[in-house]
Amino acid sequence: MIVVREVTQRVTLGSETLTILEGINLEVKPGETVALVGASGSGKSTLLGLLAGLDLASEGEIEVAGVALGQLDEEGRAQLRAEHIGFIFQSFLLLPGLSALENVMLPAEIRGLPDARVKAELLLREVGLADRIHHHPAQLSGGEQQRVAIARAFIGQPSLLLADEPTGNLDRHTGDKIADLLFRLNRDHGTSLVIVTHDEQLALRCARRLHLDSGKLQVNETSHIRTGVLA
Amino acid sequence: MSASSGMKRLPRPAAGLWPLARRLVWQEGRHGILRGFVLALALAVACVLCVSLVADRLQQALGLGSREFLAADLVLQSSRVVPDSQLKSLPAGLVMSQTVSFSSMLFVGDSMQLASIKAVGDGYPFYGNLQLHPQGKVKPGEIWLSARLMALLQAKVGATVELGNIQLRVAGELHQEPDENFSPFLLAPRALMHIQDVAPAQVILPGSRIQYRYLFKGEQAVIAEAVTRLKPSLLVEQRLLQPGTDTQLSGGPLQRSERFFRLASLIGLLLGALAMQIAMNHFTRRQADNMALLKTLGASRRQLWVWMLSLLGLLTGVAFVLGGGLGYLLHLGFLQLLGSLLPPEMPPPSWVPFALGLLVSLFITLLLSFVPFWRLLATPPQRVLRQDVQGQVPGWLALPLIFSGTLLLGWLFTSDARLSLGLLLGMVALLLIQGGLAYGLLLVLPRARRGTGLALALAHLRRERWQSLTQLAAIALALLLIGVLWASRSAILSGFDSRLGADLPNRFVLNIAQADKPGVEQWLQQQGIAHSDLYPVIRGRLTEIAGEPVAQEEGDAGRAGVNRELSMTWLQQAPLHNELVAGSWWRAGELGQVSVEQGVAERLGIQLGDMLQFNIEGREISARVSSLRKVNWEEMQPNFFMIFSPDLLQDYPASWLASLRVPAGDQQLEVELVRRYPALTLIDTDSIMQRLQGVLEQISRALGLMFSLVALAAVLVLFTQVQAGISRRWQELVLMRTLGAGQRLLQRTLRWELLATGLLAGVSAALGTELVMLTLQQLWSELAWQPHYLLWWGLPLLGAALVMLAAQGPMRRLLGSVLASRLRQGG
Repeated sequence: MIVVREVTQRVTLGSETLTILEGINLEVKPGETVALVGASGSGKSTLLGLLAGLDLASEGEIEVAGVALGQLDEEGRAQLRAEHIGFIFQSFLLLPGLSALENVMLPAEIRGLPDARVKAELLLREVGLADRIHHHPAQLSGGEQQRVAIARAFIGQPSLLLADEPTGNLDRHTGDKIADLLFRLNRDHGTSLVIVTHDEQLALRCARRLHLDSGKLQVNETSHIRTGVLA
Repeated sequence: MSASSGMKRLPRPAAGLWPLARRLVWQEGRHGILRGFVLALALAVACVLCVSLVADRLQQALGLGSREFLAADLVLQSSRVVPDSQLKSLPAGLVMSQTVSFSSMLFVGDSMQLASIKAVGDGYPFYGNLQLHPQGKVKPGEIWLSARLMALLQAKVGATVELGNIQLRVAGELHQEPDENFSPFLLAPRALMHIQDVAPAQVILPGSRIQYRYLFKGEQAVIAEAVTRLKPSLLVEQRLLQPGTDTQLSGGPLQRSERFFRLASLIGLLLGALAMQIAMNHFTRRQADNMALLKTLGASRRQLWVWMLSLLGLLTGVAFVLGGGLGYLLHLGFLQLLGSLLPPEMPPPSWVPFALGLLVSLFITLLLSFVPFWRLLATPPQRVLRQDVQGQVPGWLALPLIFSGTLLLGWLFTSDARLSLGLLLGMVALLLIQGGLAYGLLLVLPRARRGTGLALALAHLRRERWQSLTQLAAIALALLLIGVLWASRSAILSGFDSRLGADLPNRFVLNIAQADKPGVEQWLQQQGIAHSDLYPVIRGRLTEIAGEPVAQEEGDAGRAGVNRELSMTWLQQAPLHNELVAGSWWRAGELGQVSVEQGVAERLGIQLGDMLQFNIEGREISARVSSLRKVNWEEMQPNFFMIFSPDLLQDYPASWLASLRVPAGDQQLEVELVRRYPALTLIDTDSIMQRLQGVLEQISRALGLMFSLVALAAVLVLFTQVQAGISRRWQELVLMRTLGAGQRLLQRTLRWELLATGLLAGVSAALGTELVMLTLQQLWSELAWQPHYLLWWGLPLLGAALVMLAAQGPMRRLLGSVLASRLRQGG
């Protein structure tokens, strides 16, 4: 699903050039769950951004769904995201002017998929928000907002799901419930999942954990915990 | 998954984000900052539309520029009889008719009235609608009176009217002339008679203000040939009028008021633009996260453009409908207020003002949105992961674009680039000054006790320098405009002082023939009527100043002139009621001197010692400026722009002029005077002043409505700025809340902040208003500047009240959202 070869990312700040990521190699197979862990500033989010094609690597090559991101312009990368990638963010990033249903429909409307409304309603039912579909984000709790975000991530039936600290803004109890939901849907939809997280417990639920330290990939270990325990 | 199947490009539908645009407009337009945008745009459209609608209907009603309005294919207009040689040079195939317009006294029994009379020849009018009741033709020996004149003279059809040395029979009522030079300032009621009767009446004397019109009708080629032949031989007092060339409003004062209305509506438009800019900037800043998200979700560039354009289209559409409705209603209000100043029948408006309104709204929306939307579109998708990432398009790019765009708009709307530039620069300067003043006041305020809401509020205002500065500047500018409108309106109204004073002359007697002068003087003396000296009047045109030709009509090439024929006089001694401010009265032994009124000298740049050239009775004469005089026009004394030394003009034929004071209620005396000397013209200045005052009051009421619109635009700027300012505070308040600040402290901090902002902006605006009024009065009025004490406490209070009012809704929503933001972490 993802192939990363010798990826280095540098940024220039004034006269200084900082190396954020260096010599990253990794592969994520279809349906696999991977956690990216590391201290703040270790480059986790930068790597996630590169995997999503939000930015281009300074060196090296990244392939997503068999397509080299470096070969695509911004428009091409946007199309790749629309067709293959779902996102979940720490701060949910729902559009405040839209209802839960409309937020979930959004990626389908962007792609012009048929039956966006029916699919969105099904997904909202699946994440347990059948009775709140017309509520706006401001009327929903943090946990509920993240459920909407998860439903939104799955509506386009992505082959890859990228999650940036999906439980970071939630308390432990709610976070656990969200993680359960995420892994269940992931398993049901057969999606590859890459999670950036500080949360050790969440990381342990992934099939693999990749540890980033100062921009370098340190450890590659396999989790012993099954994905989707509560499924 | 293979590369080929993975990148099978399914086109993403361009309108994919249309539902989002629609929902955003619905949400933000009802409660959010876009409501300010829509209202400001609607107000800007209303400002443009109402003035354009009135102008359009007036233009149509007057039929300006049309053949019907001229009543001919070609008109040669002159203040003197056109020499035969010129008329003989015209090509064959032209039909000609002549009209003469003048003012004279009419009598019916013991009633008399000054009338504005037009004498017409056979064939008049060639085009257009002459409405007489009963229908008929203008024949020798008959006169047609307007309804007002009929009433004033208490005349009926068949009555005998005396005009100078002749008697005419009232044939009926004059309803409408096609070429009536409509003007609300036309003070004498109208009458129509045959041109053959003019000479025997003997009412036209040298020095009389007369307009001769030679109307021509003919094939297009013949008319063109006539124009070609006439143009090179045109004399200084002559002017050729053709359909399409004479499109200016005929009533000079109405035209000037129209400019004033356009200026006021331009201020409204600029204020609307400022409010829109504040709203649009705020909106696009807040949309940056959404833009990044949409990009992350895979929206194509085309979809994003369509999203933004449909958003703009919807906003503009809603605003145009609202503004169009408001503008239409307002224009009806203007017509109602201007009432009798307008032609009686106003045709329905054309589509042009509406098209103009739509164009203006589209132009201004695109102008103000282009850079903010460009910046928004440049938001990198990485922003979904890192909030500090921003697009690379600098915000200052908007400034030159908006400046030149609004300048262009102002230029098109007022047809005056300098005025628009001055207004725009003035507003920018005022914004800077007001912001600086208010922020300066903030810095010198004493510090409040620590830990209180006031201390936190002041600390925040001081810390967020740029934000406070822009906020204070916009609010203070809005208050300043309200202050200036109030102060200038009260200045205009107080300008109507007691000019109808007890001892001032209340009649002017004109057109006293040379032969009648001794008799009139003797009669006045016998009756014991207080009167001024008698002044000879000769009419002429100023043609050159210091060797430079001057323009004869507005828009002509050449140095600025007075644009009309002047009544001039010659005198041995300086008039007692004039004060010499430069030079000296006639220097002995020097010939050809002229004394110039100070105001006109300043306006035309005439210096002491300059040679001026005049055209009088077809002859050129030169005179050196030997003195400048100050004239008090309100004294109702005979006054002149130009007074010549006797050597120059005393041999020219002249009529004489004097002002009198007729005791109130003694109508019989003046009737007797005019009966004895039927050629003279008596003007009742009291009634003219009353009528003029009525007209000005009517215009000032209409201007008041326009000013209210401008004030509304100013309030909208204030509301939008306050709302934008408040919703920026979310993050900081959440932080304060997290650090333990209670709901009451948050509330108090915000309230103090708003109160301080309103009060400071108000004080700054009061200071600014006084400065602006001082400058305006220095420039345009001789009234001494006086402080407006009401402003000093009124504007700060108004500022505080408006700011608090504007903040109510957003503050409640903000505080609610801040409190909820913590509560909702769970769930």
